[in-house]
Amino acid sequence: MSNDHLLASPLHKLGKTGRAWLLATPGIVYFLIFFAVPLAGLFLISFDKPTAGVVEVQWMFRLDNFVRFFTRSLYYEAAIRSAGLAALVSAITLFLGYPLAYVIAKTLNPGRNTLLMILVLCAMQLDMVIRLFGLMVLMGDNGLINEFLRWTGFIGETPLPLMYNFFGVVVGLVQFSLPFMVLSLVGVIQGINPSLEEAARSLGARRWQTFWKITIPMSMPGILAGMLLVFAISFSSYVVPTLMGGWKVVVLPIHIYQQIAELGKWQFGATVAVVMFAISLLSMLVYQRAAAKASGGRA
Amino acid sequence: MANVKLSELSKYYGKNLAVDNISVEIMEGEFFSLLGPSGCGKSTTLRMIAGFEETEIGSIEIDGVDVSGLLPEQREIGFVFQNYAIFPHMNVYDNIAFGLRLRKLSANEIDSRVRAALEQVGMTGFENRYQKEMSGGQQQRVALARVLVTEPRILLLDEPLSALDKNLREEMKFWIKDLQSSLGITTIYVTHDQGEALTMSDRIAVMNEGRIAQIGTPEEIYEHPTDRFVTEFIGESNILRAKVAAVSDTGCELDIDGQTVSAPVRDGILVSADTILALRPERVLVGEKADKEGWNSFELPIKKVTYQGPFVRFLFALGTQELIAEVANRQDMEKPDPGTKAWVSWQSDSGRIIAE
Repeated sequence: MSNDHLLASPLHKLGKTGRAWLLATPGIVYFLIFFAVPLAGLFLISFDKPTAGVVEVQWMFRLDNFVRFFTRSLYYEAAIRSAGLAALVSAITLFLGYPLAYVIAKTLNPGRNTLLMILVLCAMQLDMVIRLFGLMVLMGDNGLINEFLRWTGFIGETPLPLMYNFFGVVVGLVQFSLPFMVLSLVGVIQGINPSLEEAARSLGARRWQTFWKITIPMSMPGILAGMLLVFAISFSSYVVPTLMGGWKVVVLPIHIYQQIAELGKWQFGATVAVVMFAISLLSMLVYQRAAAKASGGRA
Repeated sequence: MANVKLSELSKYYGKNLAVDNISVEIMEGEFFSLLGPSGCGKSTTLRMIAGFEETEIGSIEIDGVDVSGLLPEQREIGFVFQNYAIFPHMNVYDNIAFGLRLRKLSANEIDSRVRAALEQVGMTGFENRYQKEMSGGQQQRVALARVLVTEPRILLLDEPLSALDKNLREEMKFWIKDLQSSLGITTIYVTHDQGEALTMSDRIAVMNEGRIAQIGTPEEIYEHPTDRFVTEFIGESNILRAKVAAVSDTGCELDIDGQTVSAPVRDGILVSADTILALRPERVLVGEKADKEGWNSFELPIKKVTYQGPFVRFLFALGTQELIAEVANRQDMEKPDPGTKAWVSWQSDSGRIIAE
């Protein structure tokens, strides 16, 4: 058998890594055009002279926008609120999602396991806005919960404030991010060798001691990945704080929307976006450190 | 140190009977092996003793106390897993200290016991290593140190050598046996490797399809297997179809495809019944005519000669059947060619009549 036709082909000259890069090219090009370039644009105009109605880069470098962001409590408090909200949601999602993921992971029967996974994934099949309208039907002032409480006499005419506040936003974000958390955890928990837990039991650890000393540390990669994912989803969410918070829970994405869509202040909107991006990067750095520590000093 | 008594132990998985009515008593300080092919119930039995599988039928007693209802952490048993189960998020020191910390010992006590355990298994200096940074053999030693440091009443080993390469396996075999005898700890060892079981054990239970086929010392198991399964599973055997020609108090005569062979007598055999003669290949001498009382000796055609390093394997035609002989590879040995005839001889009582 002769391989001459292969040797002669221009693809062969590229070598193995060269061919791999060639395959990755469409993805890289897409990423550059539709992600890197717009982001670079945002960076550029965030350092530009604030000029209402002007979108294009004016090449007038200054820090005015950042000074404005960090000196006005309206903005820096929104940053703290956004980060706090995202951290809270990722913690709540973990507490709700871990037991669910644990049950799915330890369900050995393949049919039952698949069914549980489908139930979790079902939640992701509907568009988020539609799901949020569903939540409104449940949690609104005249929603099912308040109507039920009125009917049973637990409350008078004044409804419980379940929506258009911080609580509503948290519920909406937890509902949205729970499947992501469960998906991040199931694989990791399934990957824990059962003999590690058995070894701990045999060495004298009770069920709960085994859980805390073995199962949880071994789930750490999934816990951290899930929390990072949920943090990013919640931190950057615009739709949920808008619909469930009724413009009353002002987070950074709402500021970006207002600055750009309502006031035409592209430069300041970009600044808020850059700050958000920086906070996201920071949270990833924290994640990386924590993951390294959790896996015995070598990630 | 303790003795272990299994009484009428059975285990179902759904409708599958994994362990079928096992009764055995393991003595204090004994090295006891459960030997059998995969799926014979040996690991399930071991896991029931450890408490990882529930005991529903029968009982497990340690020092006369029924432990069937106890949780694994209440049984004071050391278990070494096939994959060693070293906790990957802890270093060697913390792995070994794990059981001691649960027992709320003082830091000084823990430290001195961990260091003593490390020394016992020859792993001093590895305190800060993690699982990924150790070879299989080193993990094995740490796994042993981790259970021995808690001073368990019995030691259970589940195929602990099967993940190691051959040379290390040979070395660890003797090392584990020496460690066990110096500690005098009652040990139950699960393996599918007859070499390991024969080398290390005081007694072996050969298991098949959930049942114990035979219990005995390595020598008893090898020399006097009681049924066809044990005969074929332990070592190699010629399995020759025969007809009983004559029976006396001291022995019997068999007809193997027209060749008359004498063999030791077995209870309940009848003249003209079909039976089976089992014969170890290494008990068959080649090239020597043994014209003595109590020997079988024939001249048979050679079908094949295979060189296998330490020994040479001959395949003879015995009627329509085949007879294998393995001869130690001595420098001065004769190697007759295939197609020629050679004398084969064996002592009559090295053959065994086995039940079908």
